[in-house]
Amino acid sequence: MMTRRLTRPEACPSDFAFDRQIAGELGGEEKSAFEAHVSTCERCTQRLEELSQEKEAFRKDSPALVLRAMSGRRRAMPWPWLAGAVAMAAGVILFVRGRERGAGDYVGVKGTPGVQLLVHREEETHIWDGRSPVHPGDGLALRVACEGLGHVVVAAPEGARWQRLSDSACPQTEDLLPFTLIVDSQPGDEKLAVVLSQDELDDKRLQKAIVEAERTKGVWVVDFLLPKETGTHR
Amino acid sequence: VHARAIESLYLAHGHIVLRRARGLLGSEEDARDVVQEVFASLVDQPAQFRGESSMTTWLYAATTHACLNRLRNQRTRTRLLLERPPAPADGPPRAESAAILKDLFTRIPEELAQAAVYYYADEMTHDEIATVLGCSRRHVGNLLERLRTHVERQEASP
Repeated sequence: MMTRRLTRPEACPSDFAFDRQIAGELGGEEKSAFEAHVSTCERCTQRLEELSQEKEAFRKDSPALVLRAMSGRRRAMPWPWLAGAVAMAAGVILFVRGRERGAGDYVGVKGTPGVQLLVHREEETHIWDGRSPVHPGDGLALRVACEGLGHVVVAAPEGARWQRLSDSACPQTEDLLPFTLIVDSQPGDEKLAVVLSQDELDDKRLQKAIVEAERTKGVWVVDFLLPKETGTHR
Repeated sequence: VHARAIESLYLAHGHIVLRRARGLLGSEEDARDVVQEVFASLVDQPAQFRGESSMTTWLYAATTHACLNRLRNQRTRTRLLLERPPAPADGPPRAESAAILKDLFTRIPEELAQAAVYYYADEMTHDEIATVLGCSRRHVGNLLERLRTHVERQEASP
């Protein structure tokens, strides 16, 4: 058989072992042996650092990665599938009834950030009018105009706090965010907030911005409250 | 597995899938598609991961399966092999791994192809291959022996 030429010394662990160690899955003697080796091996100390950094980089980049991937799938997959998959991947649960602000706040006034909500139902997509109810199974897409702001967070309430559903860089130009939310069948009004900001917001800052519906030079919040009909409508 | 749990798994382990898919496919775009495919399949069918192995182990197997499926697609395979840069003489055995995959993955059973990936591309030990395949170390030895037979037969053919 062709000789296997290892890229590492025979005594050094494979990446599989590194991955398990970083994931906290090594235990007992395996873990002890791994740590004993790494503590005396410059190559493995470096490899452990590389893979740990790779993990952190992925965590930081992951929302965009997942959404890009889902967006790419949109070309090949029917809309409902896409919507369902994205919603589940994001753990999304949705919404109900419009406020005065919200969908009406479109995107369009030059220099002013804005967000537009699009509703996809039965192969048709229309701009939400700020009043009409959504139905279970509807897909919701967001078009944002960041007007120089750098980050966009989409959040939904979970208990007393707002939970990030997506956190990514703003599109350079007015554009759809590359994911779709799916309306669930739970009764009751629910909310969605889109927070455009100059800088990344930590959780405390995000909660405050949404609660205060902040609209300043550096933070711009648009929230939606959508009515939802869960009866037979189709 | 709840959707939120899958999201957490994605954040904690997605980098592993991306790195391995990138290494096996030689294409960033295809690798990102595999990441999506692996986690989307977990969303669709959470029962796939039954907790009988560690998450890392399961993801290694799922990634290998997804990559081999892609590599078996003739068009993708041809393109990937053309795009894959030749390895330096004293460098990592990427070219050798690619050659093995090129010659074997359409001709050998899935399990054998997986063993080839773990042995050559991932450079795993027999014990580790046994863990990921969910078989005995002895079975891994048998698989690699069968692999040897395939390669030798192939090398002997004109």
